[in-house]
Amino acid sequence: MYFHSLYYSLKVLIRDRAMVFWCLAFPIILGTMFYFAFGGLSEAESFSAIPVAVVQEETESDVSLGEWLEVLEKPGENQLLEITYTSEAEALSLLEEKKVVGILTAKNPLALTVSREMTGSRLEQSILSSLVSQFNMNYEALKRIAAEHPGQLADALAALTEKVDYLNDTSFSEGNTSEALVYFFNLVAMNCLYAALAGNSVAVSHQANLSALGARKNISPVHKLISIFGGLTAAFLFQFASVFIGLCYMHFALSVDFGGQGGYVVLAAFAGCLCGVSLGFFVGSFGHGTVASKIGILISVIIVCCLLSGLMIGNMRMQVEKLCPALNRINPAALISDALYALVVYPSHERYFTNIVTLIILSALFCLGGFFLVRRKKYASLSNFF
Amino acid sequence: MQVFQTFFKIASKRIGAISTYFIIYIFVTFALSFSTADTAETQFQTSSLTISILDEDSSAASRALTAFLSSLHETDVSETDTEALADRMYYRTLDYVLIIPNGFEEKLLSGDTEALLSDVKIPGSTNGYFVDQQITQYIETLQLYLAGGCTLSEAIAYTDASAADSASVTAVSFSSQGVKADSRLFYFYQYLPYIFICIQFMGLAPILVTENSPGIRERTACSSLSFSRRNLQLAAACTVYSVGVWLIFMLFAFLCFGRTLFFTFPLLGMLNSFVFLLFTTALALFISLFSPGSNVLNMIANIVGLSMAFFCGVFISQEMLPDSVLSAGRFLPAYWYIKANNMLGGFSNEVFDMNVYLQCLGIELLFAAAVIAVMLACLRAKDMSAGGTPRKMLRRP
Repeated sequence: MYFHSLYYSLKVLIRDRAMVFWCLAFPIILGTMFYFAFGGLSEAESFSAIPVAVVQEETESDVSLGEWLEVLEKPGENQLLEITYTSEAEALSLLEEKKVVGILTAKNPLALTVSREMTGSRLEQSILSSLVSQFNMNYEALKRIAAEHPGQLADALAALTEKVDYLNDTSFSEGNTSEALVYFFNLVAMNCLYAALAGNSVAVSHQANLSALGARKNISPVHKLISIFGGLTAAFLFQFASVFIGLCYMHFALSVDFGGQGGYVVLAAFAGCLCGVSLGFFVGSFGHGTVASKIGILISVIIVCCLLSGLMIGNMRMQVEKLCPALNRINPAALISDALYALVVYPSHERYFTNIVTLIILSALFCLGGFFLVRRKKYASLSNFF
Repeated sequence: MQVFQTFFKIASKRIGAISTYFIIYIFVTFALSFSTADTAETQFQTSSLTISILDEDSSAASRALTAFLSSLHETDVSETDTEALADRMYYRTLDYVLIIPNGFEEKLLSGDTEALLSDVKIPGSTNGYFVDQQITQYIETLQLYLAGGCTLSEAIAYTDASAADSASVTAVSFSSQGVKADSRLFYFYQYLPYIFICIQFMGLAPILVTENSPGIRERTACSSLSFSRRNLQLAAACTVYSVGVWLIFMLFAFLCFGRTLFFTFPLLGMLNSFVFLLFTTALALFISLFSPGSNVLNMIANIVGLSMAFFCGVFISQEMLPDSVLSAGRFLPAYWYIKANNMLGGFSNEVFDMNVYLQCLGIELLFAAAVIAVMLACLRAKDMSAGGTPRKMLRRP
């Protein structure tokens, strides 16, 4: 009877077009949109040469400025500026048209002019300001040394011309640091939690006051636990297959980097779907609300969980970590996305397994709660309901 | 005015659902708009980032460098857990980690400055480059003074003094507007295409589906009311409803942004949003022809709304979108809406040009006209496939 229940529950789910859309098609569509929209995020974050206009006036620092600018505009990996040498009027016109980020005026001290309207280029303006600062600071230093320690000026000039890299770039992990990955991890989490809709339908189809199917099942001689267990297995298999297809699509078609640990990713999806199905079953079994109100509650819970784990605003998880870290330890969406994040970023699997074990504990609690709520539920009369 | 009144009778029966969508979407619009900062500053200010500093040297030189960076950025010197720092950096709540190793001051004084400090940043990021630049600037000047015969304390004092007064930056404005509107108002406008699509699909379309249901439609068709008058009344009802939706959003905008809403650019933004609303209304009218159920409407609203939001620059600014996506986005009206809004708000480094603005509005109107044309063609085809208009059917003996 268990397999009978499983088979027919699975058939019902596969034939439910709305369920197939939200659980399978919608995450794939959303993933495709993420892929196209976030494709340029890394490029937007990475540094590229800043377009700048240089207006030359005769000053004592002109020679050194020329040499300095030559180094900065030298084409190659370290090119910092893309210089247009021009007149003041032309430079202002370029700035107004937003074709350059700033105007460097070669006077003493070196001056920078920026546009207030270029609010999207604040960081580039700040880098230019820092460069101007550096030039003026060095110029002032040499002037002071020439005045106070003229004998040491040659040493100072030698120190200035000797280009040294003061900074040694290191990293905390060798993993992929792309900002877009967070959104894909949260999309997988959302997809797993959509299993709650299938779990809810299992609970509803076993309550005589909520569905005709529930009424029929309640008067049948089948043990309720076996029937429910069959339904839950079907809901789980349906959602797990949907998530698996979604993961394959993301990995093979969209080239999303899951850290090359396919087995662990599938295990995370397994635990996530388990948690989703049991959450839906628990909410579906709770109280005497209508089907619509239970679906409404579930959708709200899923959206809030995904919002807090960073589906809509990438760094939301860190804000929650700062304000209420306990929430991140029990939010199923945060646990799923964090498990995937830990796989990509950390070589050890300690954090990953902590998340998976928490998801399994949550699943067990939801399932037990659900079973406790539906067990020995009796109806005095079913005729009132239909 | 029976058709007009029926429209609002149906709307009043759906007032609960419509109000829910309104509350949700008004909340979403304002939450998104106010999550951004007002960038309309009057004076130039360098960008301030979040930096964590691990000072293992704790010397006068390391403290001076820490103080210099603290004067420019938001610095945190207490966090030492590398896993927590890695998490914060991954989620972009931390831009840079500077590690000042033991022996930093000694090496600085001896002139052995190669790889003097260690840093962790997002590889190749502009933020990382900016902080690198500032650290290099400070150490280079400090080393210059030391090489020039100054003592460490003198070098620190001179460097700090020159750092405080070294950048001569002038911020100029090319805008003819005296007082600038809050830039968040344009972020508010930016999210409206997605919100309007959802609201019109979830609010207006179900009313039209009911209006077009065989029962009401055929009853109206066999009445004395002509087909064109029926459509005219329906169009008037849709216009009143849509203008009402738009006015409610503008009223909320007025409550939040006050009189700045009536400055030139915000007014042009308001006109832009109204034109886009016409397109969404036409689209809702078109979709309702096929009498979809609420679940299907929800699916269509999500697909159409999210496609436009992701491909046209509603959720991610057009500046950050890849060229291939923008090329595809040009075939959607939201692209032109966002382009006009970018010009008004000064986003994505767009320069305002009245001709381009009018061109954007024109393209949006053309999209609306195209949808209405297709809708009329479908309506005609639908009637033909049903064996002629109901009026013709009634004339048959």
